Amino acid sequence: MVRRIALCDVNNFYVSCERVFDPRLEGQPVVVLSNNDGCAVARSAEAKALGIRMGEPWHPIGERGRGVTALSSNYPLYADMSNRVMRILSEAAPATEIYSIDEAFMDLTGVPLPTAFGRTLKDRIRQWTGLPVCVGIGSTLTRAKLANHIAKSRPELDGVFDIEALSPAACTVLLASVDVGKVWGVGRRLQAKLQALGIQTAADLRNAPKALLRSNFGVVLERTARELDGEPCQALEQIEPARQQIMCSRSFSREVHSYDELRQAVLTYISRAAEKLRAEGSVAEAVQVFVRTNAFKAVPQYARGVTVALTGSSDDTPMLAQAALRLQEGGHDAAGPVAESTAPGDAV
Amino acid sequence: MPVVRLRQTITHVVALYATPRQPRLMPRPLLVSPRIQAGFPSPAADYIEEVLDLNDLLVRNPPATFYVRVQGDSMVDALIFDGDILVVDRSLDATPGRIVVAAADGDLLVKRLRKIRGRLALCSENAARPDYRPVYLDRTQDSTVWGVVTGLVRKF
Repeated sequence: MVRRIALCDVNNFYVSCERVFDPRLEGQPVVVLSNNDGCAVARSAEAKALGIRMGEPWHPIGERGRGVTALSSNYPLYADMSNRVMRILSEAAPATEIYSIDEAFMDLTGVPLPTAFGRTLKDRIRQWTGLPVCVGIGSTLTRAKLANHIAKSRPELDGVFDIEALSPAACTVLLASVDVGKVWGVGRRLQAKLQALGIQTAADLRNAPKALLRSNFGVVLERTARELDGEPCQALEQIEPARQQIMCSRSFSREVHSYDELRQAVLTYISRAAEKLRAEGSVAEAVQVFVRTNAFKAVPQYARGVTVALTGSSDDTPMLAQAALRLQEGGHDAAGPVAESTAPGDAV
Repeated sequence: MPVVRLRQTITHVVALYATPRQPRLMPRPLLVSPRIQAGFPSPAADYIEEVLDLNDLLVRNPPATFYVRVQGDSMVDALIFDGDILVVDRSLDATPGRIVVAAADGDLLVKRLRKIRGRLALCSENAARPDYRPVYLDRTQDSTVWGVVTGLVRKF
């Protein structure tokens, strides 16, 4: 039987949730801000068109984008809406794996008309919850993810795209039109390295010698390339949920120059992360701290993150704090204008 | 349970409640007293007919069902009062005659959907307020039915 995987995700999830209950926001540029109202963590298509970037601190938007509605985040609402979408998907599809708050993979193997099925799901989620979704379908997880990206970026597809419906030649043309950075698992950093090797597009990655990929980047990227070529390397059940860590981070309201101030901030975030851990009843296996300069300012940029594995799993604040500070001391000495400090704990 | 406060509008939906994922109410035995029309029923005459879970009673399709709190007096003749909580099922088709939540001009309204001379309209039900005019869906920008009202919860 031909393997068919679908990836369904909600467009601009947080903004779309807000729009369901406030029709006035429809068609308007809208951003949802992070916990402390510091950064834009979700943007409507209209806000994206204004050039507002993901994670952008809120103040510059105020100067640039007049008429942008900025909303505080309402995570209980988003969690409730997410539960609804996931329930609809899992009741409809033979097998579902939740990948993140707003996306899930489905195994549609054996479903007679995958595209029609995807469209039915899309319409149902729209009617039942008010949320717009896109569905990408492919023979592997990586191809489904890519098909989802295509469905999202080409309005004429109306949100559903089965990459396997293309002829091999048409598929090659399509892959050649997609930046390699858009491929699942290829981040910005990896993209730059691949480009240096002449691998610019998804097609280039698919065609690259597997041995080269493995020796330069490891087995994970080799698998990605194989999956792009239609060879399944990852099963649905193997998907690691995207979020297995707790992150407490925030942009400072002003530039931080002293080491002491930074130390205080790290301690604050680590204790918040520890509270969250305890509330969830989980423990951390590792602690990561990172700091970076304001990416939206034209100054020499500095970014550094360090991770340490704990000797035993812990949810104990002093223990986590000790680890975090040890990291920080080894991590850096001169803090330039610091924009962010983070203390996630990898939950077990 | 998360509550969303919605902007206050003359007519209606002001808050939204998430539906519980698992029913949290303890099922209550439903007492039926067939002989008693008025006055105090004798406990001895009662018998348990079935177990009543209010979620089962009110929520037919959980992922599509929302609770909303309403504000305003435009539906009092339909016995929907200020502060009532409505059960809204988005998966049902809105047919004329049903009470619906509708988006019109950016507001979420609670109205009776009617067909007036072939045109769909959102109608208030308050004889004391003839000034509440029907809202014609074809004349109102971006107006759509949001969900169908299937129940009402009121605490005394």
